[in-house]
Amino acid sequence: MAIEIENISKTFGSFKALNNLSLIIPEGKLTALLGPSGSGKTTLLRIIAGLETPDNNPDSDIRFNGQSVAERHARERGVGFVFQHYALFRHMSVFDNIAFGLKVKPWRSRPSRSEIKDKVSELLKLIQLEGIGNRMPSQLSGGQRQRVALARALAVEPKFLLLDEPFGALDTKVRQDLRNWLRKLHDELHITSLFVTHDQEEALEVSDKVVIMNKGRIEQEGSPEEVFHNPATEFVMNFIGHVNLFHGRLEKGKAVFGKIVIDAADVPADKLGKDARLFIRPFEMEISSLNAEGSIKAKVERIQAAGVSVKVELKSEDGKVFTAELTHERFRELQLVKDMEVFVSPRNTRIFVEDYQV
Amino acid sequence: MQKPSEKASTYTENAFAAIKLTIIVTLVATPLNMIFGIAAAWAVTKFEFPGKNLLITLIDIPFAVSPVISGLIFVLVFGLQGWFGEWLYAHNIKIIFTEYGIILATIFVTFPFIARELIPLMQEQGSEEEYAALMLGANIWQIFFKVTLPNIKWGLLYGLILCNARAMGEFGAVSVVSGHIRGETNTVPLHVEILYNEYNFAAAFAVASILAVLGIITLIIKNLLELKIRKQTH
Repeated sequence: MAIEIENISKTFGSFKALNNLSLIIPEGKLTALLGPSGSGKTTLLRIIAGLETPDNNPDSDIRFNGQSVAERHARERGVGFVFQHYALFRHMSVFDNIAFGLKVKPWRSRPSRSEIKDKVSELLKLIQLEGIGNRMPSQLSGGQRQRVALARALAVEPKFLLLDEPFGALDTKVRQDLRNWLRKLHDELHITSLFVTHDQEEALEVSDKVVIMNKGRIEQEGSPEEVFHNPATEFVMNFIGHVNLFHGRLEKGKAVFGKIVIDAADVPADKLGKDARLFIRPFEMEISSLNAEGSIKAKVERIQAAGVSVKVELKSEDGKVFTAELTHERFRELQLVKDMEVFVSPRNTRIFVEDYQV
Repeated sequence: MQKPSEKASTYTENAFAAIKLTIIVTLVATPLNMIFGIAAAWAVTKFEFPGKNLLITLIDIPFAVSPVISGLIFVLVFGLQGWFGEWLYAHNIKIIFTEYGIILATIFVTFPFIARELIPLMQEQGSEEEYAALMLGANIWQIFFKVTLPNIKWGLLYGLILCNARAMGEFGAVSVVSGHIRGETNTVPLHVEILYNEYNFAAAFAVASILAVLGIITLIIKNLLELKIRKQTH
């Protein structure tokens, strides 16, 4: 089952949270809605769930598996929702929390007591929290609460699962574990899922598809590899991973950024002389002790060697500060120390000029 | 002239009538204010609507205005010379100088106690649990009785006790609308005043001590509840 969103806008007072947005959430996949705060990602999630109504527009529609649900109440949409701060019922035990959705069903479709009990035990097993059914939410850790919230949403067998910053309130270690666990769980259940996050690492690591949002619009959608290696816009380039930014100008056949000159043979005539921005990822910066053609001279300002890779902060002759990332092996080879002079050349670059990409 | 024994029994009768009236007024005013208070707090904290700030201000009016003035406003509205006076007279409905007037005045004066207790509590708890229940398919009544009410029960009980205490002891507004008809529209506080004004000190203090004891019991329950609430939130 897929979710189709068409021409959805949402305005809060004078603030446009969503700007005529259309999107398809693929069936059986885990999709991430990624964006900075205020980009409208949570608003979109709440509109899909029916907790928020979009602006009135005859062209707008939300379809679940081809069927319009725009007029359907949140209660009847059959969507599981996991809230950022868990929203567990604080006066109910874990068991009663998970059983809630089954217990409030109209009596004709309500399962029997023993069926509810079986279902809850099954879910407790799924979230690896067997035997804590009679604890209260306040007695659980953050990670446990989030898993209970997930089990509660799954109990009513929803068609879709929507998760609002599911790991936002957890510390790094628990986040990492829960992230992997969620991915594994999704591989078991194959329920069409959409989760909101502002953490690009989380989005790239867990999801099958990433949708990057900014200012109520979609900047890019695609697989994690696609958005990481082929960012469609400057915003995506900036938002996904670290990046060094150089300001420069387009000239005939080339783009000039201080000492860095990049060949750009097919620059249209009307773009000549335009301001351009050069983006280079830190791990695509080659450091060498020898001066090669096209490389720039720089001085080592700071070295941070604690981590999977070594981060080196450099300052070019013209005073521009940027970072490069290299492996520990290469770092030892070069024998880098503070204030040492090196030569840097970019392996891969991306240049953006207003609506034009070189 | 009444014989002394008859006089004594009238005293007792009047005192009992006052106690009975106070209990009736409290039993009517407190549950009604429970409903109004929950409805107002629910509306203010769980929904966004135009005029919300005005409603919050209105809830505070009985606290801001002297009870005597509240009583006078009731006379202005329902009294024979008041706005609805003629209409009420024509339909043979009496409010001022009857139990109904006393009940109305008491409800008005004690209205903020429960709403004011619940609003900050419900604001702090937010609406996420209600939304979660909604997403799990619960209807509005299930959400209220299974999620909202259990979360506010201790705060509600606290508000009920304060409201109850004030309803029993309310003097100003009730004094204006009651007319002080002995054995009919006299509540316990009014009865104490009458006895005191008649230099009947022993009787005045005797009746007053009933109120005082009720007040002390209320305070004890209130403190026990505060302990309970503090334990629950921490």
